[in-house]
Amino acid sequence: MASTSKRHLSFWACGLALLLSACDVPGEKRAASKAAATTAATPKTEETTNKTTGLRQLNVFVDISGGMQGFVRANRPGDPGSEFQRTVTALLSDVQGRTTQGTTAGYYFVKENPVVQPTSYAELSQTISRGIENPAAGTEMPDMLREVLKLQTQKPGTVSIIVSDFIYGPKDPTQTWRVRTDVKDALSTANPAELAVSVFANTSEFRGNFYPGNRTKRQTLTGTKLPYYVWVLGPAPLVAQVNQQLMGRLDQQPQVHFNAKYEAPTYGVVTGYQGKGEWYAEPGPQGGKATGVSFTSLSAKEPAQFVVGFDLKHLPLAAQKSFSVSQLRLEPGNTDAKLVKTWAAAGGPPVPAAGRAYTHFTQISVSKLPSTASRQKPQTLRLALAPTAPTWASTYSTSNDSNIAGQGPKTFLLTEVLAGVAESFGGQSATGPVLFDVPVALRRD
Amino acid sequence: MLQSFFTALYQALLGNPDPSSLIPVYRQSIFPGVGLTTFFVALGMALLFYVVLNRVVTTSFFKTQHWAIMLLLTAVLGAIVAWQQAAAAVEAQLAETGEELAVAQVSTLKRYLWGFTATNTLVAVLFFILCSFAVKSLSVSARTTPVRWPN
Repeated sequence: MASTSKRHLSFWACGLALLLSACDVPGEKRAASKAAATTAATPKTEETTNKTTGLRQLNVFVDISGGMQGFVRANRPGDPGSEFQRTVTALLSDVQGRTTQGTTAGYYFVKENPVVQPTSYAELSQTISRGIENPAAGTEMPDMLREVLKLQTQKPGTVSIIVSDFIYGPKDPTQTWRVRTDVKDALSTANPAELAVSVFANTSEFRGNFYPGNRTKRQTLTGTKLPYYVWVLGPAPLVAQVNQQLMGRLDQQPQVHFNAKYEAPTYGVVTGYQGKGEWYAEPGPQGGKATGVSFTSLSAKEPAQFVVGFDLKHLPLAAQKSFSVSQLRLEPGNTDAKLVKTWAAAGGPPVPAAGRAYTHFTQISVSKLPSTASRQKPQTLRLALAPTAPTWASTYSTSNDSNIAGQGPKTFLLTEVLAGVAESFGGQSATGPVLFDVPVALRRD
Repeated sequence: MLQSFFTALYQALLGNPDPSSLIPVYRQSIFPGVGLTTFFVALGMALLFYVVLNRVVTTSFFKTQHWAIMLLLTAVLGAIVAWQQAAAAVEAQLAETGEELAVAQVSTLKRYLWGFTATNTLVAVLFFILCSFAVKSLSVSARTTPVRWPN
């Protein structure tokens, strides 16, 4: 009997020790372990998925007509070079850098007869930094587009980059009103379903002769800022890729994207961030990110708020900036869901670990959900981001450039040129299709 | 199946987990994990009492009060398992999402954890009793502990 009571004792002692060691409350112990968790999470930087699949050829065209000469003057020792020279030289260098990653590059001068003339990286880069020696008298912009597209369609997986002032100056100045149609016709030589056009605008100091598009007297400028444009043409996914990887230095510049298609962004409901009410986040039907919300109780008295995060890294910067309550559309379905506010990760409340994958957030409030919104039949609300109209185009455009020095950085009939591009895509305005449109499933638990 | 069984079992006594953001953790990991562990602990204790102590070896540890000691021990183990697993899972979830609980939420979390611990103590007792009746016929010297039925 003595041996059994000893055994009892050791059982109890053992149990007590376990019980004592177990008594920690999660909320209290968390501060220390949280620091450890964040340091563990940070080295997991996003893998730059180098999707070279698809992009096989990059063609770069630089307009070296007489009208471009002012951008690429010869510099004196110590001169910083014009903005145009710095930007385009760096762009060419980046394109050349891609050739070691499975993409071939073609370099072309845009002149006349023939309109595009093949050259080498070295020669093109040197021409831009040293100045144009034998400028072409002038290139008709629609012809240039036509030739570029001709080269582009020869090889699948080609993206063309055009650097030019894009001044429409037909030989017969009475025909300038045709610009819209001419641009449209030129672009229509390619299948619009397989073409996307991105236009980046930039300005650079201009020293030399400026030839107005309306064929009035040439003007000599001494450092006035004039616009030039970089156009990216090609299949939509490849244009998006090139914009992402090579156009970084024009990110902040005015831009417009025609017929662009973007992958749906990664998004998800963020637990424990600016939320309210009784709900929890639920993964989508295929698992992965939480794209649904289950409410355990929801009524007008107990409204809920939850936050949806988006990873918009793959959208153009202008589109990222447009992420706002006015541009973001919420299709509430059979609920009373409303957008409360939006913010970018950098400018909002500190983002918890659950939201680190996202760059932008929106807070949504709900108080009404049909009682039939069960697990099998969730109510779906949709969040879509509409693109903003490029208001910059009208400021950059002029219908009379005969006194450009007094007007500042403007391009002859730019809005008409861009309208022609839009028309070639079936009248699609630049506010065209949405940048993304994603569902969020709401259920009652 | 197991998930919905244990979710139904615990929520019948406890209601929905609170704070609600932790509901998926409870339903997917804590309820089934703790429930299964508790079941195997109860089964192990029953086998220890009926088979090891009263068949493999012969001890004087076979009376109803001894059985009651095993029952108590199982209950304590059930409580420990519940608290430890739940606290660890909640902790891991909070660390992973970086969710900051408000003061009020920390106290509801504590209250729910204590409630869960108490519930699992009862569950452990229930499982031990069930297992006892399932395995007592395997025993030699404790066949009639705590009652003669069904032998």
